[in-house]
This record gives sequence, C-alpha cells and structure tokens, in this order.
Amino acid sequence: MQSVRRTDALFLTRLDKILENICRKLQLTVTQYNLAESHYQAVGKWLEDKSSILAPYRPILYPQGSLPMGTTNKPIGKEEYDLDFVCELLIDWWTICPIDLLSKVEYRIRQHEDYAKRMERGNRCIKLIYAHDFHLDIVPACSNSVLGEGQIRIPDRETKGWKDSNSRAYIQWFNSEAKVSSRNLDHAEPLPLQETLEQKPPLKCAVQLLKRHRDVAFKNKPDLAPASIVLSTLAAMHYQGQESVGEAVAAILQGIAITIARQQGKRLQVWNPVNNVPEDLGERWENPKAYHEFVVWIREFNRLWLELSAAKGYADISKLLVTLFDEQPTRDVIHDAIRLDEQHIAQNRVNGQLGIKPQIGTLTSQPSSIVVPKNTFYGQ
Amino acid sequence: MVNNKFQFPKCPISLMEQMVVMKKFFPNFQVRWRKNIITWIGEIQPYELCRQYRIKIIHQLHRDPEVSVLKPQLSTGINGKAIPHTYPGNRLCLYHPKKQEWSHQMHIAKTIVPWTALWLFYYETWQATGEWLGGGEHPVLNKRKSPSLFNSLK
Repeated sequence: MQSVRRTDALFLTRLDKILENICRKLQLTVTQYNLAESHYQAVGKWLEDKSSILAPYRPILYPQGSLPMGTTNKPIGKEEYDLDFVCELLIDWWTICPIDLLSKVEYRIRQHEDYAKRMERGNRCIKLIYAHDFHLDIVPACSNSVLGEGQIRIPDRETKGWKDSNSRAYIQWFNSEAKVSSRNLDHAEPLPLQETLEQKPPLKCAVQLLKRHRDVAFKNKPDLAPASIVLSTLAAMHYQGQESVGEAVAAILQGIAITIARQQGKRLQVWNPVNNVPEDLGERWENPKAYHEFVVWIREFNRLWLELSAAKGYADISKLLVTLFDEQPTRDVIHDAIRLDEQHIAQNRVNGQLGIKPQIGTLTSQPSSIVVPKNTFYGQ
Repeated sequence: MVNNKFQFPKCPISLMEQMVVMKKFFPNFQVRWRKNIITWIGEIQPYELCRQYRIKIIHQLHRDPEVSVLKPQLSTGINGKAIPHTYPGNRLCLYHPKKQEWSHQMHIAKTIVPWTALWLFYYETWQATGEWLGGGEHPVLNKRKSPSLFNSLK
C-alpha cells in the first residue's frame, strides 16, 4: 500500500508541473514583460515630466491588478493582455469633477504623437493599445490619504462619480496571504521582476487557473462572469498554505462551495479586505442571474477538479484539462509533458538504466532490482 | 573424443521458479496454476501519469508467454488507427521472436512484465499523440512463406 501512495504523490507532483506550465503559457512572455516595462517607464516619464500639465499634481504611475500580483492571464479571443496602471495625482477629489480628471490625463497623453495614435477612452481609464502585445490601461486617481495610506478615488465616466480603491494595500494583503514577502510599493518604478514559475507561490498560480477557467466557462456570456478581484479575494481567503497548486485550487473551490452553501440561498458578499470604505466587491451579483451563474460555475468547477485529481492516464488528464482551460495552451503543455517523458524513457532505455519498480510495475530511472532488458516490439 | 562444439540444451526455468520469482517482485498478482499452465493477473502502472492496467500473462513450458490487457480494454487510436505491435486478439508483441530476446531461461517477472510496462507506456502516449515512439519492427507478411505468425506462435 505504501508504494501505491508513493505513486500517487508522484502523480500529483507531475500534475502540478503541468498546471504550472499552463500558467507559464498564460502569462506574459519575458519579451512582452520587458516591452511592457519599457513602455510603462516611458509613459511614466511623459506624465511626470516638468512640462506636463499634470506636473503640479506630482503624478506617480504604478502598476495595479494582476501585473504586480503575478496573476496576469492572456485573455480568450483577443491577442492583447490588459495591464493596469494607476496615475495617482496629489489633488483633492472634491476640487475637481471626475470627467475633468480623466480629461487632464487624456490631454497630456494626446500631446505625445505616438500615444495619441494608440489612445482609446475607457470608462475609468485611458487605454494605450500596443497591437499584438497588450493594452496599457492608465487609471487616473486622486490621493485620498484622509481615509488612510494608499487610499485613492477613481473617476467613473458613466456615472460621473468616484470609486474608492486602495490597490497598493490590496497587493500587500494578497501577497501576505500568498505567504510571500510583499514589496514596498512606495516608489513607482521599476516593475517588480516577473516571478518564474518555480518562484511563484501556489496561490498565484491557483488564481491564474481560476481566472482562466472563468474565461473559458463564460466565453459566451462575459457580462455574467465573476470579476477577477472577486476571484482573487475569495482565493486568498480560502487558501490554506498548500504547497501544491492542484491542492491549493481544490481547497479554494471547496472553501468557496462551503461558504456559498452556508449562505442558504442568500447572495455571498465579498468585502474588500483593505478598503477603509466598506466595499462589496461582488456588486455585479446584484443581478441575480449573474450570482446564479457563479454558484453553478463553482459547483461544476469543483466537480471537474475532483475528477482531475482522480484521473489516470494522459488521455483522461488531457481531456479534463482541455475542458477546464481550453485547447490552447493545454494541448501544447500536454504534448510537451509526453515528449519529455518519452525522451527520458528512451534515453534510459538506450543506456540500459531503465528499470521498473517492483509491485507497481512503474518505469523508473532510479536504481531498481528489475532492469528492463533490450527488446524489439514486433507484430502488426 | 568429446565434441567441444556440442552443448547440452539449457533447461527451461521451471514453472515453480517462475511463480516464486513473480511472487517476490509482484506479490499482488493473482496466480493460478492448472494443467501446467500458469496464469497471472495483476495491475501495473507503467509511468507516473499513466493509468493502471490489469494485465493477464499466460505461461507454459515450450510455448511463448501470452500477454493481454484486461482493463481498460485496448482501443484504436486517433482516427481509428489500429493498435501497433499486437498479435490477433490484441495480445502484445513484446519482443522479436527471431532475435532471441526472450527464452525459457529467463524470468517472466524480469522480462515480460517490464516489457509490458514499456509497451503500455508507448500505447498510452500513442493514444494521446498518434505517434508510436517505442520503435520496433513489423513483420513482412508473405502468404506463401509465412502464412500466419499467430499460428506459428500458438
């Protein structure tokens, strides 16, 4: 029985490697990351320049959302990543109307010949489109330190109102839940180095996988999809320090499912863990259909994940992972894993170092009492 | 005069010894010995990400061992491709009969079982990718010269 358990541990380690590689394929490539960094630095300089109309408000540009959290995913059905940045200005929010703040930042961006061509208006941001790579979404914001350090107010074009936020504190909270030391974000530059998958804490991979399956499951009804910040917050709240990505996702899904069940049909509220102003992040669930879709999605996701943990065989694992995370990047990752296994076995077979483990009959390159003798497969 | 070139034929490993060695390495295999035919049924997992397979090995003296998969049932590959390296009845072709890779002086536990694990590993990756990467040879079937490989092995 002991040897059977050891195989299961090996299986989980291998499955984790596949999940990590899916995350690797979803995140920005090193080249894209470096490109984003250089564009971010350049835009920062442009906004902060002494000649800028924003200069009196001492603007600081810093990343927010998935980029500094390390949970950036390639979106489905479009080529470009969405990268969010805050342009924080030292200006009292009650002295300016929200649309004017958006216009001021837009005006400065339009003064730049290249940025003017790339610019698009968003509801709460100014977008710079870098085709085939990413969108840099620049969110203007007023410091609102009266309410606490890092607290900002963001203009909303549609409602002509303000929205409270504290993305710096949120990142610190998220990183501490992920059990990694949080970087001091007092200074805007440079971008934190993108973590390699080996350094990336399991919670961050788990969030990437949650978001990816959300994108797959809600591909045809994006308006009903749960927001990324809701998923990140719920994931961090239910993460229990698992070292395995697969087990982290399992614990998070079970935790969310139990919390939903405890609500007895009442809508779940996800409070922003850092805002000094109470904020229910699940505002999208005011629409009961959206909440119903979320509940159904979590239940199904949980079921698929349990099935994956019990799956055996490349074909079954591949089928489930494609259902969860789509054809691409899953197919490539599975094929890479198979190719690697085949190379490993072929090399050891040629060198006469391939053995099998007694009892369970699993091929191994470890010293074994049974060495696989040379053979030639025959027959039709 | 003693003919130095003459060699006594080597004795095959007895069925009892095959059974004892198999028991030592694969104690979970069920064994049945009737009328000088041993049948083993047991589960193996060829590689870390592979599924478990229930295999059946039939062995008797002076016959080649027969290996088949009981569970899951072997199935055709991508686009209905036939399973490579099998004899009729989906018995596995694990070695080249003419290359003397297997003989009755060898232990089933140390040859047939590891080759079965290797075959199943390549079968599973073939199922997923459509490519058989385990190498091997296919017999050239010539009706006049070798009517049926299967019959000759029976």
